Amino acid sequence: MKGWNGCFLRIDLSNKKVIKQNYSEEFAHKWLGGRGFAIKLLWDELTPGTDPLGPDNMLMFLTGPYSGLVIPNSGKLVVAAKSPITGGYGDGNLGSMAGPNLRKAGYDAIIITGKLDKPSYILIENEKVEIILANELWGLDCYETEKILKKSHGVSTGVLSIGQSGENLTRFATIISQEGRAGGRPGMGAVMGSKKLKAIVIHGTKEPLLADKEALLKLGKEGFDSIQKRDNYNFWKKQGTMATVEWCQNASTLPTRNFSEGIFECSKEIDGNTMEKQTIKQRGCPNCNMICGNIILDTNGEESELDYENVVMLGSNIGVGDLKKVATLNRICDMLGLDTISAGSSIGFAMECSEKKLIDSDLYFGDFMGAQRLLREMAEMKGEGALFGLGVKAASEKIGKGSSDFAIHVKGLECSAYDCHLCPGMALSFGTSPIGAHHKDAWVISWEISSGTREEYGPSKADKVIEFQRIRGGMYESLVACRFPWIELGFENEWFPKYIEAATGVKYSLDDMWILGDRIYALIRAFWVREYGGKWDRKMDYPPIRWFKEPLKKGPLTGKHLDLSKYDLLLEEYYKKRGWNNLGIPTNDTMKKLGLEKESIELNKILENVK
Amino acid sequence: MRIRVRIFGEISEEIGKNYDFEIHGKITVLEVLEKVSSISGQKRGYLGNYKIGEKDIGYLVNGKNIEFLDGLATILHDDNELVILQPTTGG
Repeated sequence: MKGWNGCFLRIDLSNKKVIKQNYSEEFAHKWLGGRGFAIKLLWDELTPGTDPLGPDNMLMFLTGPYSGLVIPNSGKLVVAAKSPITGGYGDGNLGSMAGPNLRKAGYDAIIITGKLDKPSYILIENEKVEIILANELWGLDCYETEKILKKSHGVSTGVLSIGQSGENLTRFATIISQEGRAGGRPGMGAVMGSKKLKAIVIHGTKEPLLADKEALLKLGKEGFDSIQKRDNYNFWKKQGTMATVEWCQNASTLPTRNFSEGIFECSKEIDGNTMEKQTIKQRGCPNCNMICGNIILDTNGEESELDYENVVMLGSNIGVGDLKKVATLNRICDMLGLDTISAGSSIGFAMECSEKKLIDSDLYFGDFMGAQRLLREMAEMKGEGALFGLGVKAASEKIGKGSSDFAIHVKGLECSAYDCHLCPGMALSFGTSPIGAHHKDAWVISWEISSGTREEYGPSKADKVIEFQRIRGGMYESLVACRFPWIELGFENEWFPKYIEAATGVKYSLDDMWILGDRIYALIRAFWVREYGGKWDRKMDYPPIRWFKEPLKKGPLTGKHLDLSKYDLLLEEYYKKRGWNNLGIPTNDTMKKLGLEKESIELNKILENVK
Repeated sequence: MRIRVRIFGEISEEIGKNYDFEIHGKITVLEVLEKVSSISGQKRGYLGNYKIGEKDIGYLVNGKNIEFLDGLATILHDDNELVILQPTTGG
């Protein structure tokens, strides 16, 4: 096989058994890599109803057909498993030297099952795979862990580790690499912790066999040059994603005080302009020339890597209007291995519960010391953290007293940083995201606001969400390529089939990519339905109830909120365009058209239990 | 009357971040945008690469998108602030 290594590394931790498994070209061609591989493997191999934090869950690290090669933005890695926070499909991606090293070690993915007796880490050096005791690492944060492991195994290795939150099963624990590159929002770090696996260290020295190496190198160089010549390249380099703080404030979409408002009185104190004055250096993923991580010093003089999501969720969303304080909270999350989005949402939810006296707590919006304390408690799953470390959905179910009305999540995963009181298209994107509320797939908010259609619920919104889901959630997540060159700088999608062909020799058209995206979406949806059975409900595709029930109270959009009946019609439109029934489940015809005949037979059996 | 114009994002590097106009008589959003285009030396009817009036850039009057007002024909009043908001980066 060319491009792909054609080999999975399977590790059964319970039996300490390592298998190098060759997989077929047909499988590679049909599912491409990354998310495509992940959902197919989960569907085929995971027993329905498996405990996400039990030994049988599959934790996977996956690359794409040209990951790690000298092509723009190919230094990412997908991590996937059944999610402990949603009970459905979970994945995320992170940029790290672990991806290129995995490919150079000769594998396209690592598939981990079972559970260790004692905390350990996995060392992969080409063919050599060892499981090494890590008692001295257990209890350390991700920064210390990676430092120690790199000292032992070399600075050129790729290290993926969990912090205390993964060890203690915080439901939104992530996996961290290189001091702040985080992946796996829906609790992938907790899945790793449940297996007592502290870290994976990867060092590879081989090169994948390529269909046309010369063409690939030429195309890679052309791609890097093309990105650098884009009109807004220099602006991007200055602020990265942080320009969005100012934009969202102007558009009344800046999550503020647990998504109760869309504007924040201290937005200027946490925006991209403030960051620019404090930036000391920048950090990015391997093989990237449009790096997005901006580093400033926090209140303790320590480095913290900022981007839009973590600044807003740990800033305006919890009422903290000081960038250095936000940087401190962000660094704590990265060290402990907490997802910054869910952590910020959980703190905001806890603060609101406290101010409304629904819980016995002294937390309040803007409480910087309290936020630091709660982060540490969530990572230890102690004190108030034992409750809020479960995520806002589970916490609200335990608290009751109407708190579910302001628990901001979809399917149990907390929303990323866009207030949608008046953005039905973005609300649909959150509602139908394959992992729960996340912006990674269909980030349509910029289009929705700039196109002057904010109050519209028409079919064009469903079309745009599906278009983005195909491109970003289908093609990029399976290629394991970063979406930023396309969405931020207009790097054309036509580049990607050329890269695939040079690497693998296989010709794909962009239409093939969109079919792949639809296939992946259909099977992920089938996976959710299989896991939820009779509990599956189209209401699981609704955005947070607060955006329907509570209008904005401040700013130019005062009084605005989403309309439930109109949203429901938009959702219906989305289902029709996808070829899903009115419960949001792919029909037999749709499954067949997408080459999922075998899977549709199993889905039909499950549907007998779904009303 | 006084009208303030604020420009955000990458185009602000090309056409400037802030303008203050003293206006006598009535003026619409479109007329103010044409003034900004002209003063900043842009191609007629353009702000950077964006053609005025095309639906790929947002215009807010005192924070309210002109889609909720009278579009480009929205009449500005004393002390109004017009914000030019290009599609953002970030997601």
